[in-house]
Amino acid sequence: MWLKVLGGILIVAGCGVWGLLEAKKIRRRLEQIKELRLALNFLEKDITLMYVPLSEALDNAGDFCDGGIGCFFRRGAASLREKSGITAGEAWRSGLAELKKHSALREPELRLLEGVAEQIGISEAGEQRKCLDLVSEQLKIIETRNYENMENNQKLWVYGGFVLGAVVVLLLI
Amino acid sequence: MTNESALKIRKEIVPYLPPALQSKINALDEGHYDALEEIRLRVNQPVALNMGKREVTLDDKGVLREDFKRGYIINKEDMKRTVASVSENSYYAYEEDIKRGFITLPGGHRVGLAGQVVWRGNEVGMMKNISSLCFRIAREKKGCAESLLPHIETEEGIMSALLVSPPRCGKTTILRDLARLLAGGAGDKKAKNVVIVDERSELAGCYGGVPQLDVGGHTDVLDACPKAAGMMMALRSLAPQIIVTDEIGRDEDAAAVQECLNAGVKVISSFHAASFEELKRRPATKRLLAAEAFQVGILLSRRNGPGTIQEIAGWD
Repeated sequence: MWLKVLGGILIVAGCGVWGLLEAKKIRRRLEQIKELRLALNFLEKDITLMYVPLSEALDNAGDFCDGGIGCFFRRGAASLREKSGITAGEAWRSGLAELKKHSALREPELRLLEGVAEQIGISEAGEQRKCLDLVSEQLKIIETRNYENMENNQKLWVYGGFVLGAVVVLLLI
Repeated sequence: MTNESALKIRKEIVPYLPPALQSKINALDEGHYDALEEIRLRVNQPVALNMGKREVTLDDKGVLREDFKRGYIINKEDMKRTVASVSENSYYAYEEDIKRGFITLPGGHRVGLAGQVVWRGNEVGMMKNISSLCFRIAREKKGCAESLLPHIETEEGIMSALLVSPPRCGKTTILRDLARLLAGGAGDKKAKNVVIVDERSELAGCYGGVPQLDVGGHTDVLDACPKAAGMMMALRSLAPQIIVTDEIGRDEDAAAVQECLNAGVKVISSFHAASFEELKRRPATKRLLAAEAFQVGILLSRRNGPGTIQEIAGWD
């Protein structure tokens, strides 16, 4: 009997923690989108106002943010510095692979960044500005849209986790 | 022991070349590096290596060949990666250089570009679809102008001088060495304030504004600056004793030289011509010679290699 109770508690707690972690990811994702947006703005200024070479500009943008987002820019910069005949698009994609592993970002924003790989570094400053501004604007839209639903989504995951745990326990009984 | 040219080329040129070509150039016999002047890449054409008087190619195994049909063919991918490397994957940062048709690499080497030019208004708007690259290896020949120095730095003072030769006879190398000697104070001579107006970034080979080649300790460089405007800027703000500039040829250059001379500043420059007679026929130089702007004329050739002094004429 006690074993069943303990098992039930563990299932509810496990599902609850899973829900809490997912809820935390929602906030983390939005924080990272904001951080990414600011870093892209910084990158755009470095490129269009200071004409800083891309490897240095990516490094500067990387210094501006932490964790996964910083890794994205720094990885791209390091690939370019190797001078192994790599193109800017390839370096950008190598950073993106790193970002996928170390961030809470999801498909829509990752797809936007994938699109930048086709443009980054290969055109004049005005074109670079247009490209980075557009991505920044689109990220802002994703951020705003998700921010409005953030609390509801978080609650859904927190309560949903515990409820799911309880349902599983009831089914097992 | 690895010679200096080999080290320089492997470190400063090879990393920018297409990956498939890098190992081939690195594997060349060290003796070949001294003669290597240019590496030319053209899409769908064999790579060309200009080694003094002969032009050769490299085959797929990295062997030098006179027969270009056996050469390694540069494809579009090679060109794309090389352009990305030389422009540091930052077209925007090299926009102005690309419009002028070349990019300077660390070490002062110059990469000439050819492709589809987009004309905007009265000037080059951009260059796209780049299809040819010419890597020109910058070489310092320190001391190559020492024999000319007594004709320029005389007991009566500094003489304005004009170096005359067809292309690839060493005008730029000699001008750079003259600047170095004059600004460094050769022998017991006092160093002079020299300004180099380097429109094509060839004389000082500036990278990021800093001269990559030795131009002397008392030299200021106006990099990528049009010659006539640069001479006027130098005159107004840098108090030079000597202005050194390459390849004067336009009317405004001649007018600027005249202004400098009127202000008591000596000018050492160069001009594309095969002989002094040809020089006298060209409108820009004809006027300068008539006004006795230059006191010394130095004719160069490649008779015994680049920088052969063919004739020195006193024009005062």
